[in-house]
Amino acid sequence: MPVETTASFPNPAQDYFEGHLSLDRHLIARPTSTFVLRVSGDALASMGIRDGDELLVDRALDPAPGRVLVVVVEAERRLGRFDVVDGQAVLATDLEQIPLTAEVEPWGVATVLLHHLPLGPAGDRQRRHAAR
Amino acid sequence: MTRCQWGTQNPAPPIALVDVRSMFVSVERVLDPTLVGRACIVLSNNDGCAVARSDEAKALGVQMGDPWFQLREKPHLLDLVAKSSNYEEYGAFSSRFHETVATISAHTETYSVDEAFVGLPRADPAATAGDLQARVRQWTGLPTAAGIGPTKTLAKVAQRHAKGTGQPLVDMTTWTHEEVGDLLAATPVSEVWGIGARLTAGLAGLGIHTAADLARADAGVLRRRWSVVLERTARELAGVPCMPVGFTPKDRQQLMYSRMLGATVSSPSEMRGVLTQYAAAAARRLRSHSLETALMQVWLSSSRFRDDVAHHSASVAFDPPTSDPLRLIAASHAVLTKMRPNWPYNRAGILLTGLSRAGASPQLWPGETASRLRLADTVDEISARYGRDAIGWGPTGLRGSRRWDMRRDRLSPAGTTRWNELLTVR
Repeated sequence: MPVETTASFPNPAQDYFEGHLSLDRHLIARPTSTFVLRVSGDALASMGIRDGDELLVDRALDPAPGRVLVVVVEAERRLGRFDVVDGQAVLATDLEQIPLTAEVEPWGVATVLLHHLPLGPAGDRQRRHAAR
Repeated sequence: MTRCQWGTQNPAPPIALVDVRSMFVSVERVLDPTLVGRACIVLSNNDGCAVARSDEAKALGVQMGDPWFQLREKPHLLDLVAKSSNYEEYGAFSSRFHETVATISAHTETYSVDEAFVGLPRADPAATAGDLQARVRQWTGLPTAAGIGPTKTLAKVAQRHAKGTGQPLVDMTTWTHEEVGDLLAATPVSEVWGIGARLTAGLAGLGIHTAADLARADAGVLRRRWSVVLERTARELAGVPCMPVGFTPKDRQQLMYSRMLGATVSSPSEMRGVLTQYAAAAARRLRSHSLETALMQVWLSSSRFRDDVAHHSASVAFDPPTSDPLRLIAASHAVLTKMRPNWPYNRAGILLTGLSRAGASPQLWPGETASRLRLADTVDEISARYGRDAIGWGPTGLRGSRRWDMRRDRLSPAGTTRWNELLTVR
């Protein structure tokens, strides 16, 4: 039988510790199909999605009403909420409603918003350093 | 003659070869949707020549290997878009491709950057392959072509047929004996998997010109005159599985790292920097495969388009074998003393042979080696986190950009691999 010989206080959590919290595992269900996109502009500011934010986008998920989608419209990636207006599926932003026709190609479904909070000048410098 | 076993009585489960259509161009199109539908090519190192072409570029007559400086002068190619090779992104998408394939079948083999062999269920293999292709398309954005056959070699023939005829999927297992025979008879033996130019010439001497000829050839003669590898190929063409998915005929025998320099280098001190960087890269690759090398060959050469070509090489043996970057870097400098003064060198390379599994040979000073390799791991981790320019070895340490670095003027951003270059959405 193993005998505890250390004189120091035994860590009561050692049998329960299962590793540090992993944000990757917490936020990304499928790494293979998940991409990180940078938001450019404030098309969905009403949902708290702001210029410069990062979005996790899972391409394995299918578009469905209520989901925030990334689609390709006229060769450009666009962000919007899947809404149904008068029976017509649209991509709704704060500025416009784009009908979801056959010409609009689904790119992925946004699952997580990463929004960095202001830390003041010193903190922002630290963050820039860490991101490089 | 070998009995043919394709068709319904074939006992082996079908195998698909799935490959990404024009992989490099397809990745560029996922990164930048404005390239979809446009004639587009990807250029080799230093933006030299076309190494990948979109269908539109092929239709305009652009050939593999066409030099960019010629293509960009042609009036009918004004709208042709050329991109530099973005290896970081191609590598990232290649991993996604293979990982996605593995979510559909547990029975897969990575055959190359953009090709995977996949074991399929006997019942309706084409449906599974179709699901797989749809999933790869949705998850990664990459279009694929697939061929299904009773053996790997026939799957490769089917996939070539799919590409040639523009079909997304060709399932040879549903074909009649005659249909398979017709396609093999129309396939030159040089197009068969694993048959190179020298073998093609030798086989022609025996009257073997097509895949059908090879399938009918005497297996014993092939083995005695050439090798068991060729015998396997012939049997596989006849429908007898000899190489199950996951079976690779031989271990990696050598590892090569060679590049054209972005600008000529004449001074030994500058060349020392080049070799240090190449040796460090070769060491990184070696270690990523858990291998050690017993012999390094390192060489330098000047332009092939000059009359007086300088080519020097040196070899250094390692006993015991090693994957220690510091030892490899020091060894790579052995060629420096041979340089001609003021000579314009434009190519350098490192070839590692005598490869063995790491730890296979006994260590005299295990402690020292272990700490050296931990150092190498740490350097790899730092460059993975902060970029290749954050840390390095010796003279190329904090290197920034060097005069002889590869030229990549038309490079797309590292949109899925670097935080500061992420793809954007409006």
